[in-house]
Amino acid sequence: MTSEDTDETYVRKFGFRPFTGVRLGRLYRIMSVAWFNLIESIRRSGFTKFLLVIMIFNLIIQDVVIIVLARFVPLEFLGVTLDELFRGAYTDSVLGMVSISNRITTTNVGWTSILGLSSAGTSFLWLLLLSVVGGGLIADDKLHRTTETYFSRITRLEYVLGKLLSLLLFSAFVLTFPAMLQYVLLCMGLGVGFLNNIGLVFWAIGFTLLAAIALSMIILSLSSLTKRRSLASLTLFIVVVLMSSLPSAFGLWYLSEPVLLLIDFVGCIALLGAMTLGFSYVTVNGSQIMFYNGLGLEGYMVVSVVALIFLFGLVIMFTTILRGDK
Amino acid sequence: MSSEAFETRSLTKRYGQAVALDDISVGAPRKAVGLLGPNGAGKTTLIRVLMGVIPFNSGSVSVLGRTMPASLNDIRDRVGYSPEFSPMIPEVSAQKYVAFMARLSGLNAVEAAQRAHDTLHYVGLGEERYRHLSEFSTGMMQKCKLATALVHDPELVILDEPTDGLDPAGRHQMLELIKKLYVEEKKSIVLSSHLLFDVQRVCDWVVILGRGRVIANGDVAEMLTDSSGVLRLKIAGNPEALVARLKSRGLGATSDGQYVDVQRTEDVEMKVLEEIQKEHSLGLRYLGPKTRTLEDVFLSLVEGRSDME
Repeated sequence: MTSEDTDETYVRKFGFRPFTGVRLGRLYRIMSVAWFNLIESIRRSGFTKFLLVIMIFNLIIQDVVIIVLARFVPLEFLGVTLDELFRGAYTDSVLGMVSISNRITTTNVGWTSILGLSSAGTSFLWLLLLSVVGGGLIADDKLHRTTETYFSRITRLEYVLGKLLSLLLFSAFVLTFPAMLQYVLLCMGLGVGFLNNIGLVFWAIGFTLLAAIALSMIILSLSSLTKRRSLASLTLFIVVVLMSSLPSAFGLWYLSEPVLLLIDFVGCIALLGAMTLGFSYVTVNGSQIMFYNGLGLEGYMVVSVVALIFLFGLVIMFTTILRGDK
Repeated sequence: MSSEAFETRSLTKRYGQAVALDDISVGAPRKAVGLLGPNGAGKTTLIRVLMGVIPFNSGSVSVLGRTMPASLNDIRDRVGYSPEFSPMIPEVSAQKYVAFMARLSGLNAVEAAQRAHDTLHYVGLGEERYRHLSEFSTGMMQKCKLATALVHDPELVILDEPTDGLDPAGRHQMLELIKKLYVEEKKSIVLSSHLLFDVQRVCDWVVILGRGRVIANGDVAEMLTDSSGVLRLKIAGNPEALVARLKSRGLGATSDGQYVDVQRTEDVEMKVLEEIQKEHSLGLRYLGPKTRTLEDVFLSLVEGRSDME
């Protein structure tokens, strides 16, 4: 039923009305940028959705491996205490989520490296997803000239922080959340109390977020340098995989503690993660690396490489913030 | 509340070596302000400076009485901006896009969504609000940009070439909408255009720029008032016959198509009417002061100026 009255009501309802509410703060606006960009990046890309499905399957397999191994391998056979086994297995698994092609283990227990191997898929998928999602975050805005509408409402710093936060939220979903889930599953699988190693969860959260910030800054920096999202995505993926594979490709693992491993800058974040847990040595692809023995690869070099990554990301991001004055 | 929409003092903006705004001092009241000038005059640069999108090199700027850059965030919340080009996120609906822009201006999610619906209806995109921006025509995109500029209920709306690429009907609709915003919703408007007709139709204040300098700044009605003291007649019949008659009576008269312009003297109206009365083949259709269009004003200002080419 329609009448003149209802038409008038309809027009008035959708007419212009003054805003009398309260405007929310700057943090809310940053969160809005982050959430909108995250959701839209995933929604728009079929490939991203496909990768996310694969990622979920990969995580299920990874967690099932832990439970199955914990059930069927007798503890006495391994020659370690339950607590050592738990810590080693969990640490290796979380480090494996970030270390791309180089396998890093912190224990001498052989089978925990299987956990690291199973998390290799996670690290590749995370890298691929981050490349696909992050590559277009600034590049697409430059291509479609959306940056000006952003900058007429929020500051450049808020814009960049929002974009960075969207990648962090994404990494938290594909990396940090699975790491926490794995802690719970491993506790249940090995029959260890949840609070016995609770410090490891905080380490895992901090470590995965550190890795996420570093890689997010790099992909955002690349994205800010071009208008082509595919260029930024491919550059990050290829460079990270290449850097991660080069040390092995040159066959330098036969040397002791090769410094060339430092070019695997993502792997360095994993090495730093092991160092922050207090490990003075780790095994990388079967070769032992000692951080404080004054030979070859040293702890301070790892810290320097990670610091360089952050510096690189920060410099380019701030260049993005100040640029656009054309 | 400040009575100025914006004010600049010795404002200079350079892009490398090129000077886009050259030491300009200009103020405009909270009215419908037209920003006129040829391409490259500095209109868009001035707007981008007013919105804080780009920094300026020297001078001072205030918008709605708030100085920049100290009150930049406050200014941005109170000003709506529709840029010249069409920024968009292609696979996003107009509803989502406008709501997102509202959230960037600090409106909570529910209010933003609600106002996005309302504003899209207001600009005439109610039926198309769920369509992707990539499917929008130029006219629809211009309306969507206007909705984006209005969604957070700004005090001042800055529109950069809002009729660009529109057909005559679309242009008429857009200008009516802008006029409605000014007259009914009491919004202050800054309308940048190189189309003099658009500005004359909507604005009551005009700022004319040329090569980064202010050429003129003032009330449109005052600018259009002809100060030459010429009386204009519209004649049915041969105007030359009337010109000859008027000249014979010592009046300065010239013909312009069907119009005759007569220099004002004492009792000029009476003399004109007498001459028309004597010549039966002539009929008087209009007699009054000669009015100017904004185009006349613009042309008189730019005549011989190298900075307005």
